[in-house]
Amino acid sequence: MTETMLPDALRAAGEVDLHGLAGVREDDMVEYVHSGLERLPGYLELYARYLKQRWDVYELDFTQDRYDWHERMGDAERAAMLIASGRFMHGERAVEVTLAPLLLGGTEEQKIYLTSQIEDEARHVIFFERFRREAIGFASASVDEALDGAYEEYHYGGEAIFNHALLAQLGHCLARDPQDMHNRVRYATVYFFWTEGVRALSTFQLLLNYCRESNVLPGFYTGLIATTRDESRHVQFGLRLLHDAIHADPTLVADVHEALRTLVSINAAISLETFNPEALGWTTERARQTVIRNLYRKLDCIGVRLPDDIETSLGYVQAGLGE
Amino acid sequence: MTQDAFWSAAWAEALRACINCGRAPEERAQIRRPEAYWQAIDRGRQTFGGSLVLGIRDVPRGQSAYLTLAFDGGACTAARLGAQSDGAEPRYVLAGTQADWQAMARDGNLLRGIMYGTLRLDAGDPIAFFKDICFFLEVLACLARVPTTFADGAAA
Ligand SMILES: [Fe+2]
Ligand SMILES: [Fe+2]
Repeated sequence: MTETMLPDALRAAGEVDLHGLAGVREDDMVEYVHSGLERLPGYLELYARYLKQRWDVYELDFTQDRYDWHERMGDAERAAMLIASGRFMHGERAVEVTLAPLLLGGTEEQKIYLTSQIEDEARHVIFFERFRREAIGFASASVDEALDGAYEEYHYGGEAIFNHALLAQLGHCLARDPQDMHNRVRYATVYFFWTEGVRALSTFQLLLNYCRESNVLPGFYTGLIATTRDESRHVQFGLRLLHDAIHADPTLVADVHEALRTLVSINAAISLETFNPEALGWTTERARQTVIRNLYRKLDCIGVRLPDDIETSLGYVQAGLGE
Repeated sequence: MTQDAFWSAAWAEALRACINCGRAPEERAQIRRPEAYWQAIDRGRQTFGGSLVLGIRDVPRGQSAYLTLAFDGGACTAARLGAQSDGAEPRYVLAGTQADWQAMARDGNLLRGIMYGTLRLDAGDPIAFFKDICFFLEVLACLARVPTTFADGAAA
């Protein structure tokens, strides 16, 4: 489906500016993310879409968010948002820095597209950093300090740091040999497919749903829904990259499988959440089902079938909080 | 308790003993991790064979740059310092600066160094390494569990 053939609500999700995004519902945006998957767009088409959809992170206003945070939100809600925002700030940073070695290889059109995604991810770091500083009230003097300050809530109890540490190592492999297709497919599976396409997208849905239903944090909602729209290009790029790579060399499916085996084994061993999605209005089962649905919607479009052992492990996948 | 100098032969031997000792059930119970986490560590311990080599990038002249931890049959069978990683081709070489490893010996936080990219796998497949990540975290947590002293006189 091309952008012009989309239903009105989804077309609007793709076209409105930052102020218009404040009125877009999260389920429409998630549909918009998946609407491109039947016909994966080309790399330059995604680059052109970036030029239209980019937004200015310094236009966001967190005045009402600050009031909501201190006066209207409960302790459990604040605790969950604190963990989520800290983990996402780290997650955005992890991809901002590891996409650089991915850009060193691939086709020239992939490289042009990737310049845009690196800029997106840097902007997302600033979005979470500003929210934490201006709404929550952290007094960090630099981004480095903000990241270090968020380390405890990020480190404790979730699998996010494991996935980001794995991304860092895959980034080193790419830096050594950016054209190695095994490295590229493994990185794409861990990042575009799993970390971003499945985990982050599912948590974004939860956080956006909470803000909208509870009528709190409008600045955060606007920035996060704009971020989700950016992720639609990222996920479509990553799936396109995987699709093209596997089409050219079907043996690369083994790399997708191996990466998934590692990711589900981390998920199984680590997920002990210090937080419960019910604080933000979702049951644990709803969070889990969202993760599973977001996963299978993507597998089909890259044409990868899962062997039985991975299929079985996925049945036990736990939803976490964070990218 | 005696404190052996960091990165000395005696310290390496104490590290090996700590790795093989593991944690008592009461100690495990105090650490907030699900049962599956400890199972993953035990599985790694039983199945990992070969060597995990720790490297120092900015090693002072005359000192050993590598510590080779050899594993076989569920145990760490040797901990050897050398100018190069010894034995057969190592499964993994994880390298950082002296400051990175000393920080690790102080707080035991391996994941932080790997996540920020200061500790890097110079050899070995990251996907395979992370399949056993819980085991490697537990092994290297011993860096902070073995009392030691540093060249500047500080202790950890
Ligand atoms: Fe992002
Ligand atoms: Fe992204």
